[in-house]
Amino acid sequence: MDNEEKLGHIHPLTRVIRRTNEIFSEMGFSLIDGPEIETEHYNFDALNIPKDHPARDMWDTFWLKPKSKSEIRNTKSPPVAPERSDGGRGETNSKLEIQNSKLLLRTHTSPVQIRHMENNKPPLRIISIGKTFRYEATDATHEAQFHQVEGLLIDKEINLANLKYVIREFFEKFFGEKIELRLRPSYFPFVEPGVEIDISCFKCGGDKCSVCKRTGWIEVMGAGMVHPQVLKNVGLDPEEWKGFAFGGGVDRLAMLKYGVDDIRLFYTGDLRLTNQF
Amino acid sequence: MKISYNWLQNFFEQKLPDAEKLADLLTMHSFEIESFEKNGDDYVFEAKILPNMAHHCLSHRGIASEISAILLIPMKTASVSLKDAPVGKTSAKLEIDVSDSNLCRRYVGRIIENLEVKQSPKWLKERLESVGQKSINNIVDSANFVMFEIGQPMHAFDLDKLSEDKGMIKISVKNASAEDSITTLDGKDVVLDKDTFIISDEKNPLAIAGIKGGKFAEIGNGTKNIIIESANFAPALIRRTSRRLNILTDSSKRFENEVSPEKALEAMEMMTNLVAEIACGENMIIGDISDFYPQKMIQNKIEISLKEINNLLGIRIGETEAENILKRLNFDFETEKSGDNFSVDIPFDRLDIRIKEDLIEEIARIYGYERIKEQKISSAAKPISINKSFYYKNKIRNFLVKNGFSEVYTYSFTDKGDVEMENPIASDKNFLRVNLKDGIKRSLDFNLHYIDLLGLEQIKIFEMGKIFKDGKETDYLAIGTRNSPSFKGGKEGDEIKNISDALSKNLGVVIKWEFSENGIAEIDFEKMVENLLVPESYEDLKIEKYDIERLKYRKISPYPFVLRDIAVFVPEGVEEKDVASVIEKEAGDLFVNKKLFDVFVKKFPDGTSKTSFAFRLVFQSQEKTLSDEEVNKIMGKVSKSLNGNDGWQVR
Repeated sequence: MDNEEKLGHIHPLTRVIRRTNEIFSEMGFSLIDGPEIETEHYNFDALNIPKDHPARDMWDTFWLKPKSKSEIRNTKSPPVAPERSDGGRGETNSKLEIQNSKLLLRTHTSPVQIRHMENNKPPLRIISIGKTFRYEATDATHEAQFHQVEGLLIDKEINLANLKYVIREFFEKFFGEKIELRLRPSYFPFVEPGVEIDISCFKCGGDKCSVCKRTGWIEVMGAGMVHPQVLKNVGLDPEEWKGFAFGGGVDRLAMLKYGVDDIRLFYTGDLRLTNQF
Repeated sequence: MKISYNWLQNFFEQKLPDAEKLADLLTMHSFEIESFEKNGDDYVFEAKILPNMAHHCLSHRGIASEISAILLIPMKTASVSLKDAPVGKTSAKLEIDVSDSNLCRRYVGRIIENLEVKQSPKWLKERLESVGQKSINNIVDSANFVMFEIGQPMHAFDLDKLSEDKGMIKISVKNASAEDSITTLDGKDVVLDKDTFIISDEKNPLAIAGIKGGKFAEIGNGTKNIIIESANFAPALIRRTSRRLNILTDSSKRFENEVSPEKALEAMEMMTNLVAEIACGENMIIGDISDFYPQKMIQNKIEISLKEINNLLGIRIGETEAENILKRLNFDFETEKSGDNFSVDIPFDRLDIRIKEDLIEEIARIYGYERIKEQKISSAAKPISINKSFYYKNKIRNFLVKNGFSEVYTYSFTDKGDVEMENPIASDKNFLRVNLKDGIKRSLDFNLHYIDLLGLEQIKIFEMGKIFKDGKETDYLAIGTRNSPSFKGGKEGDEIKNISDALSKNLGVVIKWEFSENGIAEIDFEKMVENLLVPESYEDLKIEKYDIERLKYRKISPYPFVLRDIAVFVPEGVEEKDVASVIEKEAGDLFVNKKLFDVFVKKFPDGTSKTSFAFRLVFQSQEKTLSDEEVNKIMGKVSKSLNGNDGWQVR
């Protein structure tokens, strides 16, 4: 808040998004967009999260009223560069069941994995960063709208040890500190094995402080090896192709990096926040 | 789920590690222990059991099996030792009639006659209380014990309440009819429908299958004869029904996560033996088992090679280590002659292990993720593709920031629009926005209140984001400005016009902006950049100034800010920054901002000329509302310090 400052200010989430893209670009990951209104098919079914499965409880969902179904066609390509000279980014899928799929606000950026794999041949390295929505009560650490970063790498020989490398690289560059990773068993239906990723506290380096709630570790991402069923769903042979995927909250990264204590501040249009950046 | 440390200990001869250590081991190898707390001489863990672990770990025995594998210590099959109870001939007979074996996959029933309903023994009460369950009576408690011990929901009916025909009692498992209703054990009246699966005798619904028992055949103090149910219901059925009826129970939670039908018989034996021990009446007779189980579950077998394990995890374990891990997991397996192929029999309750990758995850958990050493990835086979939308969004951001605009993000939810949510979070947030300008207007109004705190003369903002209109979602850009009353520059509308023209010109596009009154304009970003070239890299997006690392957010104070103006005459040659630095030095911790709002030069009669600098200072506390006295005291200090300079004079 310096009045000699004639320049404006970039929102902290944008700063995090730009830096994230920069770091992953250096590792060969292309940035891909996807729609915020999704179908149940892309948000859940194609990601191996079937209807009537308890896994659905992991994503509290905003459903759209059917009236809007005929109006919103989210088969339109987002305005991004053609990914491949031969295929382009035709995001349509003519299967009737997909057309009839219920509409919702995407609960994660993971549907972009499916949309991209359907239209592009491996090997693939992508990230996607965008707005996501969860039907939940808001407080200092929860918002009904927030941002996620998603990553996907598909190749012939790829393993969990590679995932560890990529994620550690990212966080070290992002926080500008030496970082250790800790993988814990977890569950996301579209990966197997599935892990939760903690990073050693960039603030105290493990000495236990308020940032890491005195544990020395900070939970930052979910990740794992792409589930063979997901590969099959997009027509890839799981015997031939392997991959890993990861995802985490952009807002959370911004909160950690800059010490912002309330996620809701990001969306109130408050210059008392933005103008500090 | 709540887990009792002492309950777990009963599965082991060996002393378990202390609660903190055990919580840590489970978190690193099985599932997250979110918290644990002391409870008398016990500890209670709160475990986050996700669906893949729920088949076996919504029970103490399942969790004990995890501990056994992690610590490599042997465990018992039960936490209590019970004697097998002898079976006799009951006077009543039981017939089970299941209408759909896809929905009820197994139904094990048994009659026990002449038992005695009373309080449970102390150990049983304590067990249930340790996981937050209230003790009811010895029969209900036995059923609950079996559920928390091995994960099989159980139920018992008072046999004498059921209709019989010449000593024959028929239990039907079927869809309810539309006229049916039931009063549940907790006294709620529930209207049933034909999609609800129920347990029924010839006349009355007795229970909502797999979800909740009914009051009608409740076990009470006078109960002498019972029917025990150990059944298995289809997960999707239970999930749909319990959500439709809004009845979530310990039983429905287990069934919707799927319980192995193989457990039902074992659970029946366990409950029978427990009842025989703690509810034995004079001449108690335990009846035969009636077991409806038309389609026996087939044990899953997975063939896996060492190479597959090592390739997916990026490790190099040998045959012996792989075998040891499988043994720790208590999986039966055969090693093929070559030594690097295994044929693994998956235990019945591990319904989560269906494919090779599932089994590899088991091995990884026990092997330890921390032992996997990272491996660099090779460089990408092809260059990255540049995201045109992202590029131009940031190019525009840079342009606007250079021109004094700051970025805001506002909510996608609003109270009117084209796209409506079925389940909005609030009645005024039931639609998705059809424009950005409304959010920009709110943000301008909001920020105007803080214009002095921000040290600004104008609020200049922009937002980029999706709007939802005309049957599609579209990226939009909006800009807005609002002047402070004292602002001496141009009008808001002109400023917006100029900046939008400049931006269009900068990009070389001729798309029309949509102007609204009060200095706000928006534009279809997608159309705007439609004909622009895809850049070759993101390189020119970088602005040095905006790549400062280690920015730190300063908490926004919830308390009001206080303004004070101060003007000072200074001799020729003294500049604004000299005055500013004196002010900053003296103003202390409560000073947050300052703004130069007036400068003029005055000739004095003695021939000298002095410059007057007028500053508006902003004070604010993070802890309280500031009083006039407090701020006056600071201002006194500032004045004194300013006046202390030769030829300076506070006006």
